Amino acid sequence: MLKEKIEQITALGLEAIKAAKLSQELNDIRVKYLGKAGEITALLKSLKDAPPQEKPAIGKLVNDVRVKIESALQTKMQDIAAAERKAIEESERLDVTLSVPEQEQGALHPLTLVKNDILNIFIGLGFSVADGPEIEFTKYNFENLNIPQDHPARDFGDSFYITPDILLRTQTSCVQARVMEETKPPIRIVCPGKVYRPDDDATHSPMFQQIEGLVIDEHITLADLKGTLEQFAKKFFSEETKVRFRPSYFPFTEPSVEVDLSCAMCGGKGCRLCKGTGWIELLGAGVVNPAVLDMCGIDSKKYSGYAFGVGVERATMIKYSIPDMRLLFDNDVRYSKQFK
Amino acid sequence: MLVPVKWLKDFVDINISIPELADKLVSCGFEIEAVINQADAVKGVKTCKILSVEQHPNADKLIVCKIDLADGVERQIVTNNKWLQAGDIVPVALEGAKLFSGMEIHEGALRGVHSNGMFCGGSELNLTEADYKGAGEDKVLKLLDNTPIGKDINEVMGTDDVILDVGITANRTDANSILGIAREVAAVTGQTLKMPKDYADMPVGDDINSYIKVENLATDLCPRYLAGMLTDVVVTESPEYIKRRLKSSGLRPINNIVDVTNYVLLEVGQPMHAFDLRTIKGNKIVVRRAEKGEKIVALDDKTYTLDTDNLAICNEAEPMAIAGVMGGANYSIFDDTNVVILESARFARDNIRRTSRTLGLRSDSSARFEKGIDFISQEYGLRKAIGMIVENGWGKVVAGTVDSYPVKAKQLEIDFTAKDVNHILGIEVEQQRMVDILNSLTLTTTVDGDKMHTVIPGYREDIVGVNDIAEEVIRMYGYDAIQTSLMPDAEMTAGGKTKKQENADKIKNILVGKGAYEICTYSFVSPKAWDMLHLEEDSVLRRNVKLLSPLGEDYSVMRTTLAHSMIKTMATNILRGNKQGRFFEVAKTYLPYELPLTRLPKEENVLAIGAFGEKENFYTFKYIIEDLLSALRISVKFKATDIAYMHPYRTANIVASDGTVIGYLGEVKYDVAKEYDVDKRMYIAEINEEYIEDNALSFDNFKVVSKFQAMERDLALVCDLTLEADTLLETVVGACSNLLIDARVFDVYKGEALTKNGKMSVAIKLTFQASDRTLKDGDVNKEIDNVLAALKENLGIVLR
Repeated sequence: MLKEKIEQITALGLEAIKAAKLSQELNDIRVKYLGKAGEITALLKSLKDAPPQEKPAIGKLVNDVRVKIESALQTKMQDIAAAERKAIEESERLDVTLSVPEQEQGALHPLTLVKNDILNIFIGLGFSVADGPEIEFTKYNFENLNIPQDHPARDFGDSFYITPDILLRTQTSCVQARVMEETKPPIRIVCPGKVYRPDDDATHSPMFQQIEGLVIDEHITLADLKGTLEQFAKKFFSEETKVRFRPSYFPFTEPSVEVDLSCAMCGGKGCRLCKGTGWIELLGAGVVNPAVLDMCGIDSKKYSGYAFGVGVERATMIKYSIPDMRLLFDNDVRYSKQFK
Repeated sequence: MLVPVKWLKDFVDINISIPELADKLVSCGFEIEAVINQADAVKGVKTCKILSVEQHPNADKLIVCKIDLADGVERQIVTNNKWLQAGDIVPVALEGAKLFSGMEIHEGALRGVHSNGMFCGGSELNLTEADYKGAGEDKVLKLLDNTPIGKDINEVMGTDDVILDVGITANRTDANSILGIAREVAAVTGQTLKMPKDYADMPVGDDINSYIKVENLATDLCPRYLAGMLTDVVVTESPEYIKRRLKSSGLRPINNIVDVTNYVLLEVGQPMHAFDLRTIKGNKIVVRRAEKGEKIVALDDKTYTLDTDNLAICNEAEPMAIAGVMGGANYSIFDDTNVVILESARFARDNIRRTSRTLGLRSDSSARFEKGIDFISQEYGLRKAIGMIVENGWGKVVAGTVDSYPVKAKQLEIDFTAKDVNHILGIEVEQQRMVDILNSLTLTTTVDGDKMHTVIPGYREDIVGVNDIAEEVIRMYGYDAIQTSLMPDAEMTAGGKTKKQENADKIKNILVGKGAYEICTYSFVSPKAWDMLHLEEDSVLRRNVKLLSPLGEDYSVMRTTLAHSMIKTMATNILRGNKQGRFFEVAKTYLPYELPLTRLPKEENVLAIGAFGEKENFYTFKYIIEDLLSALRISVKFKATDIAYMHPYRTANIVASDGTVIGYLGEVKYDVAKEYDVDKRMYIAEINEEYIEDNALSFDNFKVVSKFQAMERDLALVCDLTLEADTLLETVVGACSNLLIDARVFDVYKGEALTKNGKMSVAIKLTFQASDRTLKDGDVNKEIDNVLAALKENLGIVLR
């Protein structure tokens, strides 16, 4: 009799648990069967009225039922909790393709990026970084660089003069002249900076940046210059880049060379960038003219050196395929953003 | 410089192709800017003889001519030039020919009669009356009866030359001539330089002195004035070859005498001037500085007023020529000129350049003088000119020359060894190879054991030492022979950036992280910028360095502040529809110690920061700077201030702990923004970048974080409306023990109930923490009591 009742309660209870959908329903079921006034609790209580010899068996039966119901409740409870979490997660679905900008990263100016690239290459070769004034005495911009009074480069029309003796420097080579005057060899410096010349078109800007390199030591040769610039070219463009010297003229170097690098875009086959020549003209360089050493107080019998100058704007235009130099000074945020 | 290859061949045999020649010149330092093939202008036009002329059967205005091209082929041409007769020799364009206009010619029928092409007139062949008689007329060009037939018209006209446009570096003044280029070509192709026969000997004797004297009163501007003289001169038209060569170099033929001087200019590189003896009053050539206000009518028929900086070639009374630039209209060669004085001088190149600039007058002569002339060319020029005139029978040379040449050029000789040269080059060139190269360049070199000795010819003023010798050697030996080495003998150096340079990089990188874009603007601005910024009349920022000849007013003064450029950049971005932006620039300001400058001005690196956009306000902007400076461990305070172009209540000075004002930040004043056509809020800051570079500290003091719980307390305080957060927080911090680890304002409430009494509510959050224990309420309560007491006592502040 009691046994049947137990089985009935068990069946009903398990049925109800199985049918439950919400955690609240399960709670109700728990109360109904296992609560203080629950049916299984009632069975346990009724045990005391059972004949003593049956008590162990019935007690076990009731306990089994309790365990069964509790276990079923627990399992079901976990299932429902999982389902409910899943429902919550589902309701929190986000469009992961959507983008909501926060504070964006800014960017350095392309000229700074390229300047840093170049400086870092030479720093790796043991160069220090030097600078000097942009408003300069003609002495440092011309005289000490072996550019005499009657040289065409000194024309009023070719430089921005402030007084007959003071001008906006036309080249970073003045820093060379200053460093040589103040420092004893060995000298191994790169001098980045703004320089000024009265040109303004797609490939010239009245203000532009140069990086000047200078090495003074014993036994420095044209071959050392080529070796140094080859290292630079390989790091700045690619390992395959080649260096070519062409004869040229600068008053402060002798011999002087134009330095061509094999075209970074076509690898030397000829393309739009190199105008079909396979070469890009990027630097002017040479062996420091002994007259310049002497003027700067360095013994040209003992020391020799080389110097080179690279235009940062031109290197930048090549590196990023920028068609017009003036765009480098446009400062529209839509350009700036591209260099993040 | 334009170099016709045929002319070059007067001096040197050329047995290689034009592209090879061009490559050789490039390899030894002469850029080839263009290769102009004259014959490309007109192609496929030949000379023919008209055999017969018949009336066109279907057209009154046309005739049919049978022609002969000496090739056995029968051809006929239909033309409307009815005046042509059998026996006439004319140019004919056959099938596929290309005329100067670009038009292509094809065979075809004209009114039913076949025509093998067309006859050509001068304009179709790029010829003018000056080139060939009749070429200027609008009809078929009738050629001279002795013209060979079946020949290409370019060959007949001498327009079949190749012209090289050669770039010449500023040091190679000697190469600005056919002769100079020929020297290089001879050296680089292994040929011998041959001098044409028409270089006469220098006239020797005294006869010239009885006609003319030269008085040189300006030997600094005219270190050499050489002149020769010819009598019985016939002024006439030049022969074809002279005219052709002048024209292929871009010069216009005038008459034989003037053409000779121009010919010499091109061939020798020596500008010359020819005077008619009759115009030299007093038979005296005076080389002197012009008097102030002296006038001359030049060959261009314009009157020029001279100054004492201009050198004049004068007779006894007045200037006959602006030295080296242009002759006077009344002192040229006339049709009846009988006695000619030929001037061949050296003038100081910078003086010629300045005269040419100030007068706004340029000529082929001045252009050449500006490049620089040596002391040898005067004689070469005179010899060539006399030779040409005499050989053509246009005059007789008078014995002797007049020559003012007070300081003779010294013969330079250089002693060196092959080792000296190889030390410069870094490769091993054999001694004998050097000798061969130098001699091929007419740098006469002899050897005595290891010692080498080179005599430098007068036209190579660019060679002064062994480095120049090295350059001569390597440009002929070939730069490709230079191997690479990496300073094997030099001392190792550590290199790298200084701490300050690293700090400068750090500033930029922090700002990039703050979302700012670096900009680059010109160092020169318009002086109007100062008005746009509403600077006071006596503002120190108006004291700027001014350029003497700027590219325009907009680029005429060196900036004393970056504010204008930064505002302008923001304005441009706003006007272009960009919604927001943060910018920065590190650049120099130029602050003169005195004006006009006698020493270099103070150049100071300034960091400018700018921001605009809806998300930006004073505090977001200020935080950029607070965070930047805190990352560099520079402690500052912000003090309200007033700056001409800034919002009077939204601007602060940035004050360093030692009291130095290192910059300012804030919002641009409304009226100033309007000057830039902007009606949006813009924020800018300028900070002395060098102060940051100098004072930024690296992080070196690691602190272990307390593992005990911190306690926070919020207080709402009723304060005066004018109270500044700094004042409040200083009092709070001063009242607390070191248990206080943070104090900040997190809310300001200005409800009407408060503000009508001049008050506001400020909420502060205080955080306490100990490093050795968990704090108890009692600890914190004690601190709060002290805070409230201090606030009440010092600032009259009470809890809300």
